[in-house]
Amino acid sequence: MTTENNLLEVKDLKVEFKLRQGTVTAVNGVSFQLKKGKVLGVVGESGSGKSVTARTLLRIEAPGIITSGEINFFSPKHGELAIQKLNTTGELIRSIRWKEIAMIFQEPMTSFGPMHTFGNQISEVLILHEKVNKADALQMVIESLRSVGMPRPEKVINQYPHQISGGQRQRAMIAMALACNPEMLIADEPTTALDVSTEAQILEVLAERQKTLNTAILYISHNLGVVSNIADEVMVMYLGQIVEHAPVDELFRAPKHPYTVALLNSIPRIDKAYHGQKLEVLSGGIPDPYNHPPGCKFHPRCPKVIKGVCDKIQPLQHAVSETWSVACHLYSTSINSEK
Amino acid sequence: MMEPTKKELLLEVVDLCMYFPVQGGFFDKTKGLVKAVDGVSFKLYKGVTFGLVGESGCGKTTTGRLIMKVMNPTSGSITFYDNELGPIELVPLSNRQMRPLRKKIQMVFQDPYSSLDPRMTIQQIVGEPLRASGRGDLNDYKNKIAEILQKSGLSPDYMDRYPHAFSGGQRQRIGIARALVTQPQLVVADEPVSSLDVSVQAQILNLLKELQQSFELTYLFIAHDLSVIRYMCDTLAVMYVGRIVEMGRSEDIFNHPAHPYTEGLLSIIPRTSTKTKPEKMLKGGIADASDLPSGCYFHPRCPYAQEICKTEYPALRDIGTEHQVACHFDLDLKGI
Repeated sequence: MTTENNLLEVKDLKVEFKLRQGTVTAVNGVSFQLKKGKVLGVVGESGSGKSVTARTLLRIEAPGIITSGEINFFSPKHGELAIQKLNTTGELIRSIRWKEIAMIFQEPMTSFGPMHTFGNQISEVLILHEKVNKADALQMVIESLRSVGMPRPEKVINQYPHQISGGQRQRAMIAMALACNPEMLIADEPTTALDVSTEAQILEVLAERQKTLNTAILYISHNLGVVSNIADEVMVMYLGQIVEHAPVDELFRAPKHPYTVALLNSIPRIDKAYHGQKLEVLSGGIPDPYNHPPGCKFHPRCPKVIKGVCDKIQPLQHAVSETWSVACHLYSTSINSEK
Repeated sequence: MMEPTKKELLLEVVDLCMYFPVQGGFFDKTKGLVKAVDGVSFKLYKGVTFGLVGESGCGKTTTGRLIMKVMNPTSGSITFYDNELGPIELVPLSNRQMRPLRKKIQMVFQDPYSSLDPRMTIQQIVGEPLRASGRGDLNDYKNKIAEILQKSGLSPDYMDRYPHAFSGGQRQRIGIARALVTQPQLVVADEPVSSLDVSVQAQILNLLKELQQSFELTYLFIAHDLSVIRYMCDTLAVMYVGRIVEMGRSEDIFNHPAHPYTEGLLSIIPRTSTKTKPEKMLKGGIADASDLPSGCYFHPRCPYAQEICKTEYPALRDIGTEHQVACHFDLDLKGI
């Protein structure tokens, strides 16, 4: 993989939550790169660490603590930045948040303050980062809202969040996230709370803005269909680790990691007639967060488990092609040759 | 697909309407009506899963609630064909008269977190319908509760625990056990998996199918996720602003949709097999039920709309075996 076009490089990131009951390692050695203008999808069950990974990039991981690893962001303004070293309330990270890395949250209901109009909330970003006056900022807000297909933006800037629907609120969120033309956008399940038709509209807006502005997107979702439509590459997470990372078309055509295979098979498909056939089910649930299984974390649920190997040795990332890596012993050359 | 050899009617809904008044102004005068459910008719046959699908606000949940008699409809009839008592008209029944029937029609709710009382043990929660529908105390039913918990994939050892000790999927299993403990004939499942994680969803869907076979259940399955509907349902109805716009066998509807709304819904489902480039994307949002468009409610969003669509609401008409559509035209539409 070439590094020139990288906007973000994450190396061996670990994030822990120290709780009374014990320590939860929510992100456990995650490494990936995000290239300029590309969309990287992140999928996994709840508790797999996808949201914590995303929040750590903006340094809003608290009460989590980064215990090791690097996050290098190639900022056009500040040059190469080691984000993991920044003070979470410092000047520098605050100048990056929203201006260079923006985030769309899952809940359009709660991510806007209820006491301020959309005009006030979105213009605040512009006044802070673009140093414009209030009147100009409001004009820019109207433009920004129009660009995401918001009907009657002149009226919306004087409205409060409870006055418009969930889909429109998510449009406003996208407008706010893209108001300063950030280099990178983190979208954390942006359409999960929405209706199917609204979801399709929001995805189209996002895809179109991404193309025109050449924004890189880290797109988190548990909906594999959505990810396969918007992303260029996808990484699958399980218990804080990346188990598979591949170009999106190849991954969905021929998934390699047993977890990815199981995940894909457990979802009812719209383009398949089942005729009384049952869905394949991933046995068991996500293990106890305080006590992860030894070896490969997926081995207690894995149908292809190799006794004496998977329950003892943690698999490394094996490259099955230049762009495709899998963390599974089945693809490790040394173990396969032993058999 | 389970195709029953002889079809036995279990529930018949005829011209069901539920209008909610919109109040406001001086002394909360009624300003208008929201037609949440407006002339819905369908039949449920024994052992079949019938799906209701549509965007939020289309009236699918209200229809389910009316069948549960949580509220009384504005007009219309709901006839339940009981295997002991014969046909019973549910709408005129009082709460007291409804009581002996409650155990025969049960419900599984959407949110497994708010639908279980946090101060009751699992035994009390699952036993409650038994206690409410029969005489005697809880201990007589202990065996029954243990049996249904086992069938729902939960260990009876958990009986004395409280809901907070369980995960979302386990809670939904408790909710299912509660619905099935009285051995109902009809189960209304309102979005039973939409708040669950993807892998847990599959477990619950499979459980519902297994239980359907072992207890010969009939499901009214309400969902907005068409993939889930396709997996679960034998027949289905697509609703739009309180009315059924298309109804038929699941496979017919998915392969040969006849209503532009159904086509639109099918085209926008993101799937992993192909990149969807929906040319006929559903534009705008669902029509406002308190301020409906003239003619066909769908015409402002319909890519095939003609003059007649702006003035006349099309009646539901037969277009094939058990396939009905409310559209003026015979369109050649794209399925899955």
